[in-house]
Amino acid sequence: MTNDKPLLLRGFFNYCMVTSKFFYIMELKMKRYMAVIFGFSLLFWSHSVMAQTNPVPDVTNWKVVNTSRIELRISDCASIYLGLETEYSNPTVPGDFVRIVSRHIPVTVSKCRDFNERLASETVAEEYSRQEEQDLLNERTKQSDPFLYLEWKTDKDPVTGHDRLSSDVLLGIMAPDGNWLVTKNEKALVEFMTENVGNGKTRNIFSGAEFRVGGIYHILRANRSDIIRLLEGGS
Amino acid sequence: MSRISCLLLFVLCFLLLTGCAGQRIRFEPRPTDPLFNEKTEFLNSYRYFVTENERKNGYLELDIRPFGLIDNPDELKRFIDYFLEIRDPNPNTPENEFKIEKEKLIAGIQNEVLFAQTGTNFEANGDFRGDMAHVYLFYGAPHQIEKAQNMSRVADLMAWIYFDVRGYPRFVFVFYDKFGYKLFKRYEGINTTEMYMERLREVVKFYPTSIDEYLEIEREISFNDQSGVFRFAIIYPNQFSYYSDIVIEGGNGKTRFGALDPPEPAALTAARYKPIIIGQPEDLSKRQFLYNRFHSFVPAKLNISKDNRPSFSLILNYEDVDWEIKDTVAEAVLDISISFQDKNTRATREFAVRLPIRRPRQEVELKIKGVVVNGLPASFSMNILLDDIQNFASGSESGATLKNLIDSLESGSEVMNVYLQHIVTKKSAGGWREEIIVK
Repeated sequence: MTNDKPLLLRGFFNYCMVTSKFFYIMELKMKRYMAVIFGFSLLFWSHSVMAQTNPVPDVTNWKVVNTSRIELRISDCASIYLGLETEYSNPTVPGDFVRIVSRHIPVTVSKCRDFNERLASETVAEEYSRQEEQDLLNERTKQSDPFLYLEWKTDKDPVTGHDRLSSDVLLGIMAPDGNWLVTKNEKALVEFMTENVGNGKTRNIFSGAEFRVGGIYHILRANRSDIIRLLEGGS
Repeated sequence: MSRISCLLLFVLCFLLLTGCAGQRIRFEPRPTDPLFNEKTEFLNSYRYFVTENERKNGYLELDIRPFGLIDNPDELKRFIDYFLEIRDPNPNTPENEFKIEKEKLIAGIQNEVLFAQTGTNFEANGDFRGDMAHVYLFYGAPHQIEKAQNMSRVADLMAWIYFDVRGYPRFVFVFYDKFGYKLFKRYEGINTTEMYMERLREVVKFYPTSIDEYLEIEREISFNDQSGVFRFAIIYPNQFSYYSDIVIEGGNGKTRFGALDPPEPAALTAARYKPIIIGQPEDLSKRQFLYNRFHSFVPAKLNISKDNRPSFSLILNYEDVDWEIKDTVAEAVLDISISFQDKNTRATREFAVRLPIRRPRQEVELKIKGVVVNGLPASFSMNILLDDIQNFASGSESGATLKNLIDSLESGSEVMNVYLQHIVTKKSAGGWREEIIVK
């Protein structure tokens, strides 16, 4: 069933593989011009490169500007937490920003309950639930893996006085095989994925999110059977 | 009386006198109790909050005896600390909001904050043991107070009304003044004339002796009742609350709420409504693993052949998998699921398998370190051919493989989703979503 063999690291040419959208299409349609493209990309230093080492900028001691969780609501009272997105600013270089999107083991939570507000305090139950959920999410946050980042600089527009982009936007995304695509000024796209859990009937719910930069994507997904268990009351 | 009967009677009396019928735990401390002052101070504030279970059993899980049996300061302190801890409505804050709120109410009783509105004080009405203190400690100052006073036959009446957020009376506590304000609790039905007369007798100054007197009492209540609250509470059945599942006492925690029953501690309420969290790894601290370098991720490569009927293989590097060490064997168990959705018909077909990978421990330990080939580091990988693996997805035919499933697909475009997860550590792959053409 399995066939063990060593995989060589990509060579220098592979390292400098051009994967920006334009060149990617060129690569597919005009293979015979590949050598020219490689030469072109080497001349201007690569627009996009594949890297095996983690290229995520070191943001130790940077200031957290904001953090939000990647949450999918699968019903009024059930959610899946897949990861988090954190924006940092450089405390020593004003206008220097990094946004890192990280994944963790999906946390599938249901707070669905048959609640009689006259018999029990919903506020109380909610606070305790929130603590348990928060404790687990905090633990998961500590054990998260970055898979996408964006890095950019801003300065003040002397005319309007507003912040404006003053650099390229550097991006990195980790492919499913663990290698990183590092590129710049590409769009980072997010698409939410649905899944049919209707057991023969049409019942689609959110089950994951696909992050895409250039031709590389990274999918965050919850286990389908966990979702079904949750919708069936956690049994 | 026979000799045996006499003997039995004697034995019964002896047992009763010696307390064989069951020793009751005395909740209220006696003056001779070594902790009388401390216990009294606690009970003044929290007497009505102690649940039946706490009275009878204490906190078994913490080895704390029932309140009445505690005879040392350390155990009493632990009882009180835990009593307050499990009532904290918000464990996310350092403060105990229950304690803070109750201390304010206790101060309110001591400062007689309701005197201006009620014309009476807590101290004259049983102080901390009285019915007024009971209601005030539970619900604070009433939203509305109604009074009916100076009647010839009926005792002075006072109602404390608490509304809910919708503006309906959630509780209507009616007090009558017979040597101090007492709470009217006869909310049971008035199915018989005698039951009804008993209700009226509870709130009158003199015992009525004729039907005419009862009618006069009824008229007096109605006449002096501007808001109608007393008429509804005393003359009509079950008018303690707008809601039929709220009673003054004797709730069951499920379908009936007792307004003056000791409230369930917040932590216990929360435990009943705990969130369901699934899909998390169990405690693995006692198991031995060779983990990969990620917390949540299993790097892997999916190869899809471009044939008419595509075939699939999965490439995993040794160092990218979490291996559980089981003596001389290293094991990784992966769940793999693949779904194919026809782009036109939206029909979905599924493949699922739990794949155990077992290797000699020594081999795995060696291979996860990798090798150097021509001066470059290289990884050892496993190439898992999926085509001939049996399909265990629900609804699939027994013995059918992934290849069988692909062969059965209609020609056309299919959207394929692949999911891979380590079943023990719950780490998963980045996932694949591809559009494939089946010819």
